[in-house]
Amino acid sequence: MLLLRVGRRKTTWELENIDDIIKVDFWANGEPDLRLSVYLIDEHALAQTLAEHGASNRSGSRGFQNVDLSSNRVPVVTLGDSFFEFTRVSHRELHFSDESELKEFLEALRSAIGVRLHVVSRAEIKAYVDSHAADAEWVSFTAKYGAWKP
Amino acid sequence: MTHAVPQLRGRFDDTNDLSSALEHPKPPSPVRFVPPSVLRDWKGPPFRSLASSDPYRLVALVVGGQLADHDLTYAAEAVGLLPYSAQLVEVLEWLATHRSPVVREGVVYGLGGHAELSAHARSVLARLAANDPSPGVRTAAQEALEF
Repeated sequence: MLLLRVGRRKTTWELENIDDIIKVDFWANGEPDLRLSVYLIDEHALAQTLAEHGASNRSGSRGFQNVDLSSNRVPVVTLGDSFFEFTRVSHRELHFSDESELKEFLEALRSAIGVRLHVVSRAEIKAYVDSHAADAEWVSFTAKYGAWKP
Repeated sequence: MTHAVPQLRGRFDDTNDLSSALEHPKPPSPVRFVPPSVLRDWKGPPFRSLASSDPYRLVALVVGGQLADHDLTYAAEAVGLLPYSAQLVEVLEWLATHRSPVVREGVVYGLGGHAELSAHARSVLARLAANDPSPGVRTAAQEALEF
């Protein structure tokens, strides 16, 4: 299982400074995000997760570079606000007491970042959306929000 | 890197007309005259909201040189939500030479918003896809050209 954090930027982990990494990808409302939103999923569900996440957030057309945050830290079960049931139910949060704890967690994770990154291309997301366009949830989504083009 | 900075003209409080707000780059003029009033009431992201509520301020922030890289990347992306304008593409092209890969990735997403209408945007994306030193920026640019 993966505890997948959807990446906002493909270049985040190219940055040298962990503070910059936090500000780019682990930041919310002007401060470090101490309740990281993640998805507990099987690896085969990557494209579905990214498609549903992207559509629900009206993300721009792109692929995503994501990171597996699995560790001995216990995720908190929290219903996500995704339009889709799968990503609502698989949503979790990782809670941290303060910025230093978050920083320490990410620093440790960074040493093995190569095996934790999971890239999902735009083409894979598009293929998923195209093949599920007739599914009830996607039909309902499109009727409510209009077509989402990954 | 040194590069031309698109100049802003006109007053900041009297129009949201982007077409009158930007001129072509005039090297080498490191213009930094976005007045403090533009930033005074700004509380930070989300820039996506700013794109619809105050596009003029969004562009002023992008060219103003006062945003940190981690904010500038999202501001540049939000420029892609604005109605197409050749001048906006010029702003993004200028920003495509930024030293930070995170900012250049934001530029890619901004340009992606205009790529279907603008050959210029596509040419900048193609350049980034082929030559950018960052693998993340190159991949993002390649994907932005897939439409």
